[in-house]
Amino acid sequence: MKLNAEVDTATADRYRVRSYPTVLVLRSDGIEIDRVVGYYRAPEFMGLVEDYLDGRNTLASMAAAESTQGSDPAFLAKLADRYFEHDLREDAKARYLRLVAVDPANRSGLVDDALMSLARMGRKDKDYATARKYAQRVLDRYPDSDAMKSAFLEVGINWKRSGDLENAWKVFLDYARKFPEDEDAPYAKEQADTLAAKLGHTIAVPRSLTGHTL
Amino acid sequence: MGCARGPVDSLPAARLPTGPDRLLDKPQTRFHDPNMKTAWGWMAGAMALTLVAGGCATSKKEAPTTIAWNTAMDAALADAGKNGRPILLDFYTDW
Repeated sequence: MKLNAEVDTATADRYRVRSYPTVLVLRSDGIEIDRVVGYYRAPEFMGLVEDYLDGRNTLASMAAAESTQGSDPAFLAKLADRYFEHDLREDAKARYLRLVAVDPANRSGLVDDALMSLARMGRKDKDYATARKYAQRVLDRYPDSDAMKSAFLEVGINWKRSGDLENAWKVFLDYARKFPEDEDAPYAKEQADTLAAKLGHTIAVPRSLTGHTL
Repeated sequence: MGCARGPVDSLPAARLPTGPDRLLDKPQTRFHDPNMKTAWGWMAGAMALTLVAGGCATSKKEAPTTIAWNTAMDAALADAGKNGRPILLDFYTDW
């Protein structure tokens, strides 16, 4: 069946649906078996749902396996993502943090993404200092990460949200100048221009930006 | 979840995330295949599986192109309970 989550908000809330599309696989009595969040190609989608109907790869089965696999970064990343998809945010945070702890060198290549997930959750919770801290950690520890640019912007967004427009302006301006060809450069420039106007700055790079670190 | 016989719903076009919206508060749409440009593959999967889960008989020669979606939760639960079938519940938005 199909429901518009913005119309039938009671049902969406009841099942803790927070992103779309989300497809729930329910038992005949309406109890959730598990869910598919986001877009998948048809064969993968079919595979996931068939797994769920057979009791495989469900969040419940993964949680049961945590006692034996809970130090494997790949397992932790997947488990954290699954908790997040279920809007069980504290459970997700705990697994992302454990992933960060068990793989400090990011040999798995999953730690930068975990930090970005923590940053976005922090922003969603309006904990902008924490969000900025995790994004900054990506920049400091994993500057070659493919999440680096997102982390860069995340720092700026959280400065802005926390009301520190001066630092936000510097970060957005820095981004637009460092990555002029990037798809998010127009967004960064627009943010910098808007903040410059609010702050009464000229658009030129201020001296204070020389050697600026985020 | 039964095989509705009434008019079928048209499938909405997928809304793809673009630009810095993906950085802000709007829930992120997740594409699990980076080469996936549209949601039609996913939709096709949903359609096919809905028919399987719903037990709708379809001829191999007549591949379904649309689905008659049930949109009433109570009716779907009653039908699923009566027939012992699972439910696929697709939450979507118009944005």
